[in-house]
Amino acid sequence: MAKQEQWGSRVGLILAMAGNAVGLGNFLRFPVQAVNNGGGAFIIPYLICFLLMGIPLLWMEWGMGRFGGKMGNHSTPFIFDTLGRKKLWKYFGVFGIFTNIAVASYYCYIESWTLSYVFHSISDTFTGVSQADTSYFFLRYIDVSKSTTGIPFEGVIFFVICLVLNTYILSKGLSGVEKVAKIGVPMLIGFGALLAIRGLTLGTSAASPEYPEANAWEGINFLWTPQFDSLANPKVWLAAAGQIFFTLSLGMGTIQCYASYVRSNDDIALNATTSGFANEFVEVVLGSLIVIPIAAGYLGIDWVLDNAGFGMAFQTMPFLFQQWGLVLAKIAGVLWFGLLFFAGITSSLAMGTPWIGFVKDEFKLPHKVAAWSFGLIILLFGLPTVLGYVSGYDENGKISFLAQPIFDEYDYWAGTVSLVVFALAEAILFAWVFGINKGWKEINRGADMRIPGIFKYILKYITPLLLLFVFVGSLITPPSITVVKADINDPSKQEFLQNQMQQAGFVDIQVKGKSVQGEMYKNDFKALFPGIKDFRAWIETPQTGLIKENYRLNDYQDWALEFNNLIRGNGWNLDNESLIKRVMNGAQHQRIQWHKDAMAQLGESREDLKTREKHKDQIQLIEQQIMLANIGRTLLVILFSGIAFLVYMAYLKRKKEGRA
Amino acid sequence: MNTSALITMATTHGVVILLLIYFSRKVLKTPPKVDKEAGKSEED
Repeated sequence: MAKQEQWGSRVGLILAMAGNAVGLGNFLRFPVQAVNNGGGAFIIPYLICFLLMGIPLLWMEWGMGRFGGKMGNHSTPFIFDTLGRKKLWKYFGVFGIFTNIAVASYYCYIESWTLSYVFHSISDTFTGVSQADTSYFFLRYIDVSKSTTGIPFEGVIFFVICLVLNTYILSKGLSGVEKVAKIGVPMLIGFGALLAIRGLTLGTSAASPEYPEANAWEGINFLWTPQFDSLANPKVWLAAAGQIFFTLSLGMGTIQCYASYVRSNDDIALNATTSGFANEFVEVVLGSLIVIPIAAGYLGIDWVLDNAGFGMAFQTMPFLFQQWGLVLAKIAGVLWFGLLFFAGITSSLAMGTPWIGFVKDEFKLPHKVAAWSFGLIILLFGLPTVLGYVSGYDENGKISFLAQPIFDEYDYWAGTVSLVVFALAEAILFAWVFGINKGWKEINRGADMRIPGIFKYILKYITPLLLLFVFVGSLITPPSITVVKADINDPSKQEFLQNQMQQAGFVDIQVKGKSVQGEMYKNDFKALFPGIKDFRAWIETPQTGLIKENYRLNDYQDWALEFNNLIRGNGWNLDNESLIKRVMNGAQHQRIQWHKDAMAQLGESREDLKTREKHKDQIQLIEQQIMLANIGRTLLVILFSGIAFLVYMAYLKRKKEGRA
Repeated sequence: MNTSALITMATTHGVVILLLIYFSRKVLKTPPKVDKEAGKSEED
C-alpha cells in the first residue's frame, strides 16, 4: 500500500492547527463579545468553558481524526462511520464538510476585504479622510455597484483573487498548507504584538478636543474589571461557550481532517493542548489589547460601547491609524490588515481540506482536481454572499442602509447552529457509542503528556451536557432584559430617579439601601435609547447627581420566569435571536408590523404622506431582506443535500468494493 | 487603569503565556518518535 500524505514536521502540524483556530474572530469577535457581556465578567466563564469544553473537545476531535486516518478516512462522514456502528452516523458527518464549504463561502469574502484594505493602506486611500468618510468607504465597498477606486465590482475582483490564492495553496497539498502556517502564524503574532504594545501604552495621549475623555486604559478597564454578579447570568455563559467554539474551530470537521494525517502512534494530547493555548494567547493576550484600547484611546469608551462590532476593524481602525502620521499609518494599516489576512487564510485553507480529503478518498480524484473543485464550489456559493445585499439610499444618493442577508444566513446556520449540532453529535458518538474507555485509550496513545484522569469523566458527562445547554439555550432563548442599577446616597435624588424610571416605562423598580434598580426588555430599551450617549444624557443629570462610575447596565435572560410561565400555561416568550424565531424571521416581521402600526397612526397631511412613503420604503427593504435570507437558506439546503447524496454514493461504492 | 482590572488582566495573561511556554518547551524538547513506515513510497 502506498504511503499516505503526512505532515512534514511536528511544529508545522501545531502551527497549522493553531492557524486553523486563530482567525478573524480572535481579534474582532472576542473583544466585542467581552464588551457585550459585562467586560471582566466574561473572562471567568470563558476560561472555565475553555477547560471543561474546549480542551476536552480538542483532544476528542484530534483522537477521532487520527483513528479515522488510520483506516484511510480523511473527512468526517467516514471517520464517524468507523466510530459508530449504525449507518446513520456518517450523515451526521456530512456537517463536517457542509460547515466548511458554507463558512468558507463568506469567510473568503471577509478575507478579501483584508486583502483589499492592505492595498488601500499602501495606496494612501485613507490619508486625510474623516472618520465618517472612512466608515462610509466600507459601505461603498460592500455595495459592489459603487466603485471605491474606479475599479468596477472591486469587491468581486478581490474575492476572486483571494479564492484563487486559497485554491492554489490547497492544490500544493499539506506541504503548501504547512508552509503558509509556518510563515503566517509567526507573522500575525509579530504584527499583533506590535499593535498590542501600542494599545497598552496609548493611555490618554490620543485625547482630542472632540473626544477629551478618550483613554485607552478605560477600554482595558472595561474589558478586565471583574463583575462577579454576571456569573449567575446564563446569557454570559452561553456567549462564553459560543466563543470557545468559534475560536478553537470546534465542531467544524477541520481538526479531524488535519489530525487524520497524523501517524497512528504520534502524540495528539500535547499537540492539541499546545495549539489550543497558542490560540488562547492570540485571542486573550493580543486580541484584548488592540481594537478596544486603541479605539477607546482615540474616541472614548462611550463611543466603543455604542459602536462595538465587527465593522470596527474596517470602519474605524484605518481612521485611527491616520492619527499616527503618514508613514506610521501606512505601516500600521499593513500590519493590522496583514495580520487579519494571515489569520483568515490559515483558517480558510483548513476549511478546504475536508472536501479534498473526501473526494480523494471516495472518488479517487487527483489532488489538484480536488482542490480546484473546492475553489469552484466556493465561487458558486460565495458569489451570492457578495452580491446578495440590500442597500437603501438617502435623498443625496448616499447609502443610508446596508444589509447582507445571505452572508448573515450562512454565518448563522453554518457558522453557529451547525457547529453546536455537530459537536453534540460527535461528543455522544465518541463518549457513548464508540465508548469512553476506547476513546480515552485512543487519546492517550503515544501521548507526550499525562492527561489528568478527571477529564475522562468530563468528556463523558460534562462536555455533552454543556453542549446540550448551549444548543437548548440557542433554541429557546428567552427575551433579553436590560437592568439599570444606580448607587445614590441622597434619598431625594433616589426618589427622583425612581420617578424618572417609572415615566420611561421601566418595571420592577426596587430601592434597596443606596441602590435603585429597574429593568425593561432590551428591545424596548434600545428603542428608548438608540445609543449609550442618549442613555448617559438621560441618567447623568444634576437631579440624579450620577456620574458613570455610580451606575451599571446589564443584560440577562430570565429563564426561571419563562419556566414559571410555562408551568402556569402562559407559554414561553422567545427572543428574536432564538433559533425558533430566526426560522420564522421573527425580528423582520416585528419590524414590518412596527412600520404598519406607525402608518396606521398617520393622517392625510402632506407631512404624513411623506412619512407614509418612508415607512413603505422601509417595509420594502425588510421584505427584500427576507427574500434574500430565504434564498440563502435554500442554497444551504441544496449544499447539505448534495453532500449527503455524495456520501450515499460513496457508501454504495464502498459496499460494491466490499469495504462498507 | 484600575487595580482589579490590572490584577485580572495580568493574572490571565500570565497564566496563558506561562502555560503556552510550558507546553511549547515540552513539544520542542520531546524527541521525535521513530517512523515505522519510513522507507515506503512518498506519495499516492
